[in-house]
Amino acid sequence: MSIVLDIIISGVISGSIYALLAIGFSLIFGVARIVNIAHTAFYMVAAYCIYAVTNYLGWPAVPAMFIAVIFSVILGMVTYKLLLNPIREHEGAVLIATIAIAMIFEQVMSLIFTGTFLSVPKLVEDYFTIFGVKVFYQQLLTLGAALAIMLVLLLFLFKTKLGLAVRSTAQDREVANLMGINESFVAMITMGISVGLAAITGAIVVPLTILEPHMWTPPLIMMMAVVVLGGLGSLKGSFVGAYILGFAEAIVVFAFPMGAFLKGSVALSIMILVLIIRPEGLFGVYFEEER
Amino acid sequence: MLLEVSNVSVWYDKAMLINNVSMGVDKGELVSLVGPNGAGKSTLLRTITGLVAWEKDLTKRSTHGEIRLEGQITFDGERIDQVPAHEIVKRGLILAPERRRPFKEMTVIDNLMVGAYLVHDKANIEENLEKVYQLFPVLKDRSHQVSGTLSGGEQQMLAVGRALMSNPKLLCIDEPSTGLAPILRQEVFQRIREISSLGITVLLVEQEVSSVFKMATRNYVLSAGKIIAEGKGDELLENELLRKTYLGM
Repeated sequence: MSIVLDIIISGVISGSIYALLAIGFSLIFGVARIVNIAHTAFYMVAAYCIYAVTNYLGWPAVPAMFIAVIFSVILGMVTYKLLLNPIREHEGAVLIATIAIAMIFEQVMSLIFTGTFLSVPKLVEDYFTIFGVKVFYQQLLTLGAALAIMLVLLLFLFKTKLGLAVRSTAQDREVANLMGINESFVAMITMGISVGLAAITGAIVVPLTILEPHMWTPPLIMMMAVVVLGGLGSLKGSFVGAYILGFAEAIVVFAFPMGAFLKGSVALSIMILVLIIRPEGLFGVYFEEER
Repeated sequence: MLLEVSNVSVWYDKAMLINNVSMGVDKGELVSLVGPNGAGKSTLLRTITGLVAWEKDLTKRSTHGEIRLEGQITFDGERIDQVPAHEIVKRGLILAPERRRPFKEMTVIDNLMVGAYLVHDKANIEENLEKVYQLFPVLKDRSHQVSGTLSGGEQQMLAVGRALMSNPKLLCIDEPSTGLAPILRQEVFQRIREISSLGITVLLVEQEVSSVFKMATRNYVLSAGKIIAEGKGDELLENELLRKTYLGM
C-alpha cells in the first residue's frame, strides 16, 4: 500500500514539474520553431537566483521567487533578441546557439557559486504521515503551484487576445501576420512566457532539490523525452506525456531495487521507443511547409 | 484608384515571377485576375498584401535564395509597399489566401476572432460577426467546431469570413473555387457577388474563367508574370488567340 502511495505522490509531483517545463518548451517551439536546449538552464538560473537573494540579501523566500522569475524572463527575452532572433531562420544555428547559451549559464553559475551542492530551505518544513508515507507540505505546495500556473496559462491562451495571437501564430505564422498579428513581437512575448514557465518551475522546485551547475541536464533529458512522447509542439501532448513519464519514473524508483539509478534510462528508452514506433508522438502536430 | 500597382517586379533568386506589372482596382469594383498555372497570380496578391516583403525579410537571414522587389503599390492614397504585412490589414486591405489556410486546430469562432484581431470596438466585431453569419450560416452552426474538421467548401467560407472580420475596403481572394465540387463553386461565387454588393471591393484570383468573367466588372489576364490583356469578360473572349492560349476555352 505505502509503495503505491509513494508512487502516486512522486508521480504526480514529478509529472507536474515536467509538464510545466515541457509546456514552456513546446510553446516557444510552436510559435517560433526554436528548439530551446537552454530551456532548463533558465530553470537553473532562477533557482540560483533564489539562493542568492535569500542568502546574500537575506530576503524571505517568496519575494526572492518573484525576483528570480522576473530576472529570468528579462534574461530570456534579451537572449532571444540579441542571440536567437537574428538567426531565427537557420534552425540548425538556433539549436547550436541554445546549447551554447546553456553552457554559458552553467559556467557562469560555477564561477559565481562554485560547484558545491547548495540548497534552499523549504517554505514549510512540516509533513504528515498517511499509510506510513511521509508527505511534506512543501511537496503539496509545489504541486498546487504547478497546477495553478498551468491553469493560468490555459486561461491566458484561451481567454485573452494575446493568447489568441500566440495560438494562431503557432499554427500558421504567415496567415497570423496577414491578419494583423506582429508575429515577431508575439515570438518575443512567447519567449518571455516560456522562460517564465521554466523559471517558475525552478522557483517551486528549488526547495525540493539540490543546486549545482549541472542541475539543468537531468530535467532537460526528462523534458525532451516528454516532448517526444507527447508530440513536439503539442501542449496537450506535453501535459499528458509529462504525467506518463512522471509515473514511469516513480514506478521504476519505488518498485525496483536500485531503481533510482535507472531513472534517466527509463526516460531515454521511452524516447527511443516512441521515435521508432510513432515518431510524431501521441499528439504530434504535422508541420506543413507553407509557401 | 483604391489600389494602384505600378511597375512591380518580383524575383525569387534569379526567377522573375512578376514582370513589371501595373494594374489598379477602383472602389466598388469586382476585378478578376486570371491566367494559367504559375503565371504569378498568387505571388501578385502576396506582394500586394505585404507577404512577399515579409518573406524577403525572413529569407534575408536564412540560407534560402534572395527575394527582390521593385515598384510601387499605393492603397487608398497611401504607399504600402514599405509597410509591414501585419500593418497593411489595418488600412483595410486583406487576403483570403490560397488553399484557404484556416487555423486548423482552432475553432471556427476563434478563427473569425483572429480576423478581427485589429478591431478594438466590440460592437463593430459583433456587427461583423452577424454579417459573416448571415452570409455563411453554416459557420454559425459550426462556430465551436475545430476548423480542420470542416469540409473544403466550409473552410473556404471560413477563410472569406475571417477576412471580412477585419473591416476590409478591399478583399483579395485567392482561388476560392479550387478543389470544390461544381455546385459548391457556384455557391462560393454567389457569396462573392453578395460581398461585392455590400460595397466591399473585391480582387479575385480564379482559374474558373467562365464564371468569373460573368461576374467581374473588369479582368486582368496574367501570364508568365506579365499582364497580357485587360478588359471586360466578353471583350476578352472575343480574342480567339487569348481565349485558346491563355484561358483554355
